[in-house]
Amino acid sequence: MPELKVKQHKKEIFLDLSSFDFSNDSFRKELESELSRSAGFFSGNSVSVIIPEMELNKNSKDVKQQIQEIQDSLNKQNISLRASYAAGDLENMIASADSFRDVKLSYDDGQTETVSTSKEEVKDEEYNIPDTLYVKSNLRAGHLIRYPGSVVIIGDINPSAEIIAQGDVLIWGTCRGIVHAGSSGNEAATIRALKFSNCQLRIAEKFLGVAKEVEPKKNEKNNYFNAGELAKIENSEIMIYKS
Amino acid sequence: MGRVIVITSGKGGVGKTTTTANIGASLAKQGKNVCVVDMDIGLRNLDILMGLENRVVYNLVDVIEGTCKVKQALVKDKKLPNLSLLPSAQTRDKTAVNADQVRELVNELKTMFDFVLVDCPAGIESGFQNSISGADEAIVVVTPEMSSVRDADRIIGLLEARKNELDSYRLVINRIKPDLVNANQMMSMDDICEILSVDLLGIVPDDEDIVVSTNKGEPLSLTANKSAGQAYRNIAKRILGEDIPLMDIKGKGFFGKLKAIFS
Repeated sequence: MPELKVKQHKKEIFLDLSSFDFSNDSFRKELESELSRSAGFFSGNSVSVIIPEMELNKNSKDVKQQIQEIQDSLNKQNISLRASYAAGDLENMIASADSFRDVKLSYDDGQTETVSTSKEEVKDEEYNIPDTLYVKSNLRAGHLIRYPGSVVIIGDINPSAEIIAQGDVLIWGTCRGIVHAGSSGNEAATIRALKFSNCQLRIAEKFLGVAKEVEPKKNEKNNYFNAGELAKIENSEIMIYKS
Repeated sequence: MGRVIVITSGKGGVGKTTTTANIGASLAKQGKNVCVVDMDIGLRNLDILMGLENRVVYNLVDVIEGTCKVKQALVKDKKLPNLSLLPSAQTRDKTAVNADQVRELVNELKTMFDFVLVDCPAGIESGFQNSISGADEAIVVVTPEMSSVRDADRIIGLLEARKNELDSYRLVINRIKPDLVNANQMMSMDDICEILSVDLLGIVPDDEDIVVSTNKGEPLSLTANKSAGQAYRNIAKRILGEDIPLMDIKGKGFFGKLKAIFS
């Protein structure tokens, strides 16, 4: 089974398809099954694809058709195709330009796909803080977001959904799942949500289980006016502050 | 062309098969041509609930493998001539079919019936993936327990990934115990809807008569039952587009219990 690799260069996301066999008929099926595993992550974004060098250089009708098919598969998952590169071009880009950033992306089953393409270490300070990931949907059970920066979620985090971010996490909704901020050891990272309810919070190496709060009265339910909660490390313990 | 509705839940034992049989029977009673398909290959149940277990000759795997025609495998209901069952195989397992074959079969059934109800197996593996291929709508059955709600949440996440194929997915909350909800001991409808944020299709109260009807092989919605039977009849009407208010589920209360003791 070929693997879908994900790379990021500056603000552009690349899907590396060079391990796929394009001549194979089952190619599209394999691509779609790989995409459906991680589609939620890219949904609404535009990405570029990297396809094996020889395939593109044929410059035949076949290749154009392949790219069209890739585009169709991506569109199905609400992803738009920005550009396509041959694998060789990419190598040149790495050699000439600054290095690629690794993106860790994981979905289901805890499998993590890590890509290390950088030939030189990241020296540019600017790239140590990637863009904030903005997700506009509820995170349901089994969803997992792993991101090397900060994450903003517009929606709820449902039980057994997970966010692991190296930066801060902001949730505009109720948090019922597992959230890990500052996963690389940053104790200054914070987690903010409109409400923490029956969830697990981790900041750097610290851990806090939040119990379900006492059932609010009917008319107070979903009343977020006095809500907004902040979790941060104070005296080497996670504390929750209400606004 | 008919509508294909898959009935799924993630967790086992929440009442998918019962829901399928009852909604199917109610829709047929309303005069629609209905086919219920048991997709739980290897664990055949739906034929028992409908009281048709000794009439099964061919099954779904036979149809897919080309041993027989679809019409040969369909089993007509005893009372309702416009209700048919496509039974699953008992001696095979879920790997006997694949998603494309199921889609082809379901598309064929779609041309023959107004409604095709697919009873999905528990779990999120191949059996589930097969069942939802070709479906136009989904009904997620959930009971008021945290474990069931979490599994339903996962299922809804997987259904959302197929937004382009599925027109809608709606929720049926099964086995509500009114006395426990009133005493704040059980998750209420509001709690479940808040977590899952999905349209509610219906609520079904817990009813002992379900066990009786299952063993008798007669769907409860065909009897005069006023509790779960009525709830399933309401759900069928909502599927047909009628605007029926949700059932008022209330506990017996103090006087009701007193009455029950003396009756």
